[in-house]
Amino acid sequence: MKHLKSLNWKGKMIEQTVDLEKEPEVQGLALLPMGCTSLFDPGWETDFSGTSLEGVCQPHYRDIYGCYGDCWWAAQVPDGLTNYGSWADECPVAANDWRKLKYVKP
Amino acid sequence: MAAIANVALTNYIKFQVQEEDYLYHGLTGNIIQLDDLSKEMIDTFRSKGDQIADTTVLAENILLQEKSDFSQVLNELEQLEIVRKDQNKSQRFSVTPPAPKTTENMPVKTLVFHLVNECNLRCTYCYAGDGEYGAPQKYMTVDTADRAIQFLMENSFEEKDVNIVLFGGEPFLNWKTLKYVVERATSEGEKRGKKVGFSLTTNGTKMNAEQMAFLNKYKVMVSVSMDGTKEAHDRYRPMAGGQGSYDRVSKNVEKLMDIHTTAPIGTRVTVVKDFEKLETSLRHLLSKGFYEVGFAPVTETNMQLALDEEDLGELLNQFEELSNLFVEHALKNEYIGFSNLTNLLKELHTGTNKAYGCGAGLGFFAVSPDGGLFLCHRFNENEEFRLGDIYFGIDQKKRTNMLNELHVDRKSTCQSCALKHICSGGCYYEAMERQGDYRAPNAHYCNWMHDWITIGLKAYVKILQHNPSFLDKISGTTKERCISN
Repeated sequence: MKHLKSLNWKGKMIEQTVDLEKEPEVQGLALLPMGCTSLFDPGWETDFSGTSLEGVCQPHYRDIYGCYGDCWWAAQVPDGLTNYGSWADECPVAANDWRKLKYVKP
Repeated sequence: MAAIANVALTNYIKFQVQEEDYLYHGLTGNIIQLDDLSKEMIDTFRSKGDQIADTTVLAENILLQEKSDFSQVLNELEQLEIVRKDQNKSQRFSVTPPAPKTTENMPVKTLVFHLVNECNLRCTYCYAGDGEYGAPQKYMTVDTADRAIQFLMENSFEEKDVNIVLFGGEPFLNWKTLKYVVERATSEGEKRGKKVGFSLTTNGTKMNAEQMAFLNKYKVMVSVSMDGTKEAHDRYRPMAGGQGSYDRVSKNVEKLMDIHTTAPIGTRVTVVKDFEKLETSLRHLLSKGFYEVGFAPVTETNMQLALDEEDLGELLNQFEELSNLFVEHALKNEYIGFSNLTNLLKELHTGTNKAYGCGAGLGFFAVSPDGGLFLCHRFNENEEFRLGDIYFGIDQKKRTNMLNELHVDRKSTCQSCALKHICSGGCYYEAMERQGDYRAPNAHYCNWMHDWITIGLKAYVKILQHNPSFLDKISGTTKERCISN
């Protein structure tokens, strides 16, 4: 709506319904994986079974390189892309070598 | 040559707040802010079109000749179902809910228990005629109450929340049954997985500490009828012996506030000719500890008590003053319990779409002391409005017919009205008293309601601009309750 603005809860619901039925002006690139955020299937990185059930409760260290290496997910680990490139050098497998990770001092 | 296509700007109220323009659309309940182009288009509509109540009709080509850009606004208004071009096009947001074809499967959600047809007050304006409703049987027995509870449990079907209104006469005159109803319905509800909510309307003259503790234990929502300060209250609310009732009620209310803390306690003022300044009443009653105060004009045919045009004008002015006070506090995140406005703001926020003036006969019934079922408490003991009884059940044929007759689409003057889905013609009892027919719309209130709802719309927009979360907070839950005692 360009000229009218629904103000109350009811009006917003109506406007939302009308908007949903319109041809979308922008479409997501669902067929070109650009990283997990464009795939809409959380857990894919730990589940190769295709059932979306396996390994969904893996501890967070399974994600550690994703969070650290290319920063696709903001997490409380040092950022490996710009400031701490060698943070995980001594820790090739987080599940085994996590003790070798060092603290960093920003 | 093609027929001239008319467009209709339907059921709307246009209003201004701080020189900005807004539109309320009554069928969809939408409140819209207009930009310069849409404002200009609506002004053109109004100056060139034909006005039928709150609807304006104009030929599309005349409108577009004025400015071709209007087609953009027209298109948006049509999508929101505020403008209608084609009468045959099916609508989604603006349709009136139809009258039920059959009523067998409609659950009863709220049952008003007339525990006793008697009162110890002699309020001049009482519609129940000293609380007796001209009825033979006065007290509801425990056995009848028991059967009425069963009736509610069975006829509420799958409904998980049901309500019992403890009513009279003065319900405290039948404490034995009142207590039984609350205890029994609670345990019966637990057995069947239903939550039973209780509310109670009382004149406040006959409560002791033990009874108050009982109300507290069962979280009974209490509404005490008071008319404001002592002077205003004692004018029309005398005891049966003639002396004023204020001192007694006031003392009890003080005690009640101390003991009963599990549910908000409200009060209701009946507004009668030459009424006390509402702000005086409101401040006085809030200082007593009441959470909310509701004002209801008296239903009267006696014009010495009823409000005439001039009184209604004054009532409206004072409602506006109270609304301004309400907004002032709302912007500071404070709540001033002027419940007429609270209820209206809730309805405007959620965009109420009602085909009936109230829930009477849909999910709401009253049961008389002898177990008769009536359209609502105000029609208690009136045979014309008897819809069966708790023993043999609801007279479904009569109920269906009555609901057909009462549907807002049967009220021709409501069809083009902006308040079609929020007022829906109003109270049936009031219509019977003032219009001579319970099926008639309450025409004597039409102008007043338009002005009152416009006051509410302005208050809504002002609060929305500066403290929008306040509106979500007060709209949290809505209860199916009758607004008149």
